[in-house]
Amino acid sequence: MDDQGTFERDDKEIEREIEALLFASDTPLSAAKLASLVGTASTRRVLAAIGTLADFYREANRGFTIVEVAGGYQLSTLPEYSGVISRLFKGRKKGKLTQPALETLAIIAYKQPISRMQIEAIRGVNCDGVLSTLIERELISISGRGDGIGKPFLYATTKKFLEYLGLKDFRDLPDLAELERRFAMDAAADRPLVPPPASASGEDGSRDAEKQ
Amino acid sequence: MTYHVRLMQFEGPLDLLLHLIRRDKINIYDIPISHITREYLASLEIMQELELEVAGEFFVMAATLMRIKSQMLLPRHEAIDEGEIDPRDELVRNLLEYRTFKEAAHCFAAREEDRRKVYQRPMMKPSEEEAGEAPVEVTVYDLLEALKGVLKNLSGQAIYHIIPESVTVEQKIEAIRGSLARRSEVLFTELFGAAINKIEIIVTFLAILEMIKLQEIVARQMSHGEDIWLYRSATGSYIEAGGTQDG
Repeated sequence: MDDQGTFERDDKEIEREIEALLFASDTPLSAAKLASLVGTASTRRVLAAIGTLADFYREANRGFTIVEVAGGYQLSTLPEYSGVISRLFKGRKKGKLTQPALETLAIIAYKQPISRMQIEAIRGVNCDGVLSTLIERELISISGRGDGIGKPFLYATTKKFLEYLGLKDFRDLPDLAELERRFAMDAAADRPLVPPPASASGEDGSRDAEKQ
Repeated sequence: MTYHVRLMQFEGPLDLLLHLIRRDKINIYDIPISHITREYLASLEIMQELELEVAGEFFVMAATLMRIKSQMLLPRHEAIDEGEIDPRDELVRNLLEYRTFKEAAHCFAAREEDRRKVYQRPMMKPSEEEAGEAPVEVTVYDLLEALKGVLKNLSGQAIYHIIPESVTVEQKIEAIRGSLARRSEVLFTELFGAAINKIEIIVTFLAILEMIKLQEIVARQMSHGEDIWLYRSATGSYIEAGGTQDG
């Protein structure tokens, strides 16, 4: 354990330690955290070791790999083996999110922190039940209180949300502007899209500014 | 008589409108408002005929559509050509924004599906001292354990005279609501800070249990044996119910 005094620790040993840590951990471990755990100052060495391990699993055709998720790394089985694993767990996995839950989660993910009223203004429906479901599943949490009437609770997504969708970080979210463009293209495929009328000046024209 | 109704579940009025817009291949930037209003109302009628529960929001939207329709009929010559505001603008903005998030939700669903095919190490901790980052649900036993701690603190103080019961569970619930209205979370032990006798401590404890039962609050802790925090649950709506709405 005590390697003080020796030069640099053997790369292979660091690899094995990281492998053991990833195996033992139930949450993704960040490169910085791994570095401090194995006692090296360099996250570069950690990343190199992770790369070597991932390559090794792939080349050796193992049933799992290392994935980057929620700002860290974790061992994960390959999608090909979902069948055999689900036989092991027999429906013990949590249910999928419903459409209202997904919509609400999407709004929170892009607009956080956001109050329930603001979410409801976008969805046009009451979101009480959906919010408590999402909180129960720990995908969102109350992050503070807003300034409005009654100091409403503000909601934000959790680290578990990133894990749930397998996102590396928030930059990994689908690009909203990209989604909007996709619509413009879909509409064009459907039928020629009449260019939108110039929206009233002064009135929020940000959304369709590019299309004018 | 047989109906051939493809039963569609609409998430809300905007969802229904988007469906009609897609179905009738309507240009979302230039919605023929009397057509869409007619179709929208017809859809509501069908939903009611099928005895589906039609949420109030659907009727609010119906009113909005009729308002826009009437505004469109008003003579508009007095409006300055350039600065004229289309009565449909706000609705269109809402529709576009909602549509974008609906699409994002589709992306989320696809990612969820992918993610469900892979498995990670299960949630289990080798020992209790390694605290997780996500708070865990508090059990009744945790609460009782915490109560024991509070009572032990009290027994250290020498109080010999008996004070008649002056606090009711209802009053305590109000007090806890008050604390949680000011702050997003409250430490379990904090709620007992002002309690001077055993009865008040127990009344406070009962109030907490009652509120948890009513799902007004939730109790969480970082890991078992740690401080218990109480949060207002998202389902609790007493503030809205009691609040007055001045325009």
